[in-house]
Amino acid sequence: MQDQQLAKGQETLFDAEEMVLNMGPQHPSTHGVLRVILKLDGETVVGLDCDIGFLHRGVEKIGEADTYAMITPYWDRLDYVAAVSNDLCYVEGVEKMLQVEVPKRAEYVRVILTELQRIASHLLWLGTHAMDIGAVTVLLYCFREREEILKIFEDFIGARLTAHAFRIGGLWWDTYPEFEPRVRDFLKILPSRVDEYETLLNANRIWLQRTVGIGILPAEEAINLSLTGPALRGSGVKYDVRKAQPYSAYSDFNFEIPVGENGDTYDRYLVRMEEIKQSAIIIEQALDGLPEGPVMAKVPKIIKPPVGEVYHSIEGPKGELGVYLVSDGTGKPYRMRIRPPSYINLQSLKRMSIGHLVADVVALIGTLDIVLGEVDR
Amino acid sequence: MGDETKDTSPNQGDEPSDIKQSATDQPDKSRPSGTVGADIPEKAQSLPSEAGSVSPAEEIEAKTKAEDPSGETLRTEAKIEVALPGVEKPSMTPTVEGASASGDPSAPKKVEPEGPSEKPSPQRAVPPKAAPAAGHKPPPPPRKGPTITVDITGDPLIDRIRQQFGDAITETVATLGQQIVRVKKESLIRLCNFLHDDEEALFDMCTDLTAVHWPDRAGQEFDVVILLYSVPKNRRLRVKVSLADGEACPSVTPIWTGANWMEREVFDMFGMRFEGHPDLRRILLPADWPGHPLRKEYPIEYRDNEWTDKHIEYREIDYDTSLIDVKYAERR
Repeated sequence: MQDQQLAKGQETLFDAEEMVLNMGPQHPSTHGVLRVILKLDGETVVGLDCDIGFLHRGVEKIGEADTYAMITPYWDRLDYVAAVSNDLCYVEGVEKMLQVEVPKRAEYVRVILTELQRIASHLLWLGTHAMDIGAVTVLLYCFREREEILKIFEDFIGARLTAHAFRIGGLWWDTYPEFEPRVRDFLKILPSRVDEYETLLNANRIWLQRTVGIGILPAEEAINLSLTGPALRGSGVKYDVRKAQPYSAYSDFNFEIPVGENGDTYDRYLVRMEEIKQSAIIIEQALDGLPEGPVMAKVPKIIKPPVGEVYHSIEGPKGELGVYLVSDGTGKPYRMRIRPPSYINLQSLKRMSIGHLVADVVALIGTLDIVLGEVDR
Repeated sequence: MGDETKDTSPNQGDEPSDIKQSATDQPDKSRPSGTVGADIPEKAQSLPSEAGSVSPAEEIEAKTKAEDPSGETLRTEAKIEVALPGVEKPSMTPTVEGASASGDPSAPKKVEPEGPSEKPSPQRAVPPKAAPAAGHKPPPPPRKGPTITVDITGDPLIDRIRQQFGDAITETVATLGQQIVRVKKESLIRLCNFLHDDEEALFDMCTDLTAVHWPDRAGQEFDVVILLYSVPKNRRLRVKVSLADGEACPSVTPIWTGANWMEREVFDMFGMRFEGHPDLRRILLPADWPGHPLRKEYPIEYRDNEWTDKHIEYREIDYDTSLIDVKYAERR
């Protein structure tokens, strides 16, 4: 008995057997049907496995059976809280393959909508993440602003959630007359509202205790884990597809890429909050420089890209969202691969959770900002 | 079980509503496929002439391509295109096992991919236009085809790789400016280590790993495609390996930890093993799911009734049909 030493992280010698705990698939903090199998020593996580696939519907296989134009709506339903961003990725991938040049005006409107979607997605993330940790009020504030964005979408696109915003070659409709003033109105109120969230959280003792130092990922490890998006930038890696390999009209705008220092949950929170502000700056520039002109390029009605393949990726709200298309010259893709940021980010949950408490797993699922519709596809 | 066999039968002329009703009896997993399956035969039946008119045009297109002397890649692609429609029809090759045998003979018939996809295009474009457009198409593809793929032997990094690996590199091309290196299987790990560590390359992130099935390419049925990104150099590179059916691919997870789930997904969807992978299990589909969906011989509309019966408990609920629909009750 006296030879026994406390293992690392062990507080007492009362060694209970390791316990296996199922979290989900119907757990409110897993943000969908994610089942996490935890192996626990007391309250400390010693092992973790994710069971996913509950929402699998074979989008990649469906893509092989549909024409290029028919596939786009399926992309709305991948990351269903950021449908507009998903569309942009696929549509630009096909345009790249067809070598179609999209009119400038369409590109600017696309940027505006995508950045609004990024704000909406981050707001939803903030609200649910804060609620998981215990700050219920934030959710109500976030939904108030998200509602404004969804109303703009509804009037422009016709849908709030699965907004099928873009077509191959540009936009289906030009903007409606009140579009610009409404977006500007929203941008006017946004900074003060973001300040409100920050007042609620930034110096909140409970928030700090639950996030600072939780799930630290060093930069090298984050890269090796293929992490992208705010989760990667929280670790201090300045990689943003908008800057690294600009697509659409992003090379026309000035904006900063916020990065964290410590790579913990709190830094990832700060990065996303800063991204909301940067998105507002981009939208403002796009509105100021919004050119006149057509919004649709000349695209053949039957889309048959040349034989070959293409990889195109955009900076989605969750991370690098990519599409890998292989064309055999027919009207349907020979192969369509989706690079889902949520799916690839989720695998770092194991690395981040081990050694933390069960309650921190909830915070870590939140900080990765996963959407199960995209994880399972 | 009774109504499920009804679902799979290809020729239900007058009873789609009945089938939808039966599909609603079943719990979650079988429901979406049930309703979809009920829709398809109608579409396929309504447009037989349409589907017939398009496919010959595609054949002509493929032939003209094959005759066109320009470009090797083009020729191989054309062959595949010819083979494609045939791929779904012959009953499964032995790789899709067990459970498919029962539902199989009927499933591929109603499942031909031309049926569902040809249908909506008339809704968008005018139907008479669609067929001539496909007929006029043959000239353009050969013109466009070769332009997007070019050889890139002059690139400094590519030359460096060629110097190091010599014959192991079988192809270096770029499509639309995106560089692709094809390597022999034996040298994959050596190349990946080189790309990860070399000062000129520094590909420290595995952006994505996937596979493509080419059933027509004897002995090289699969391409494993690794998309690499270098954060310090800000450049991308695609590494491809050809594999025969049933052959295992060396795992790159020891080099890039992030490839772990991607390889599991490829294993799940294509059934290809990865040697040296720490934890090769199915990830999106259930562990005992038969077959691998992204292989070309796996039909698009395919219901695995046996699996569903085994795992999802369902009972026939005795509806008070008078509350729902009088006609339905009468027919019953």
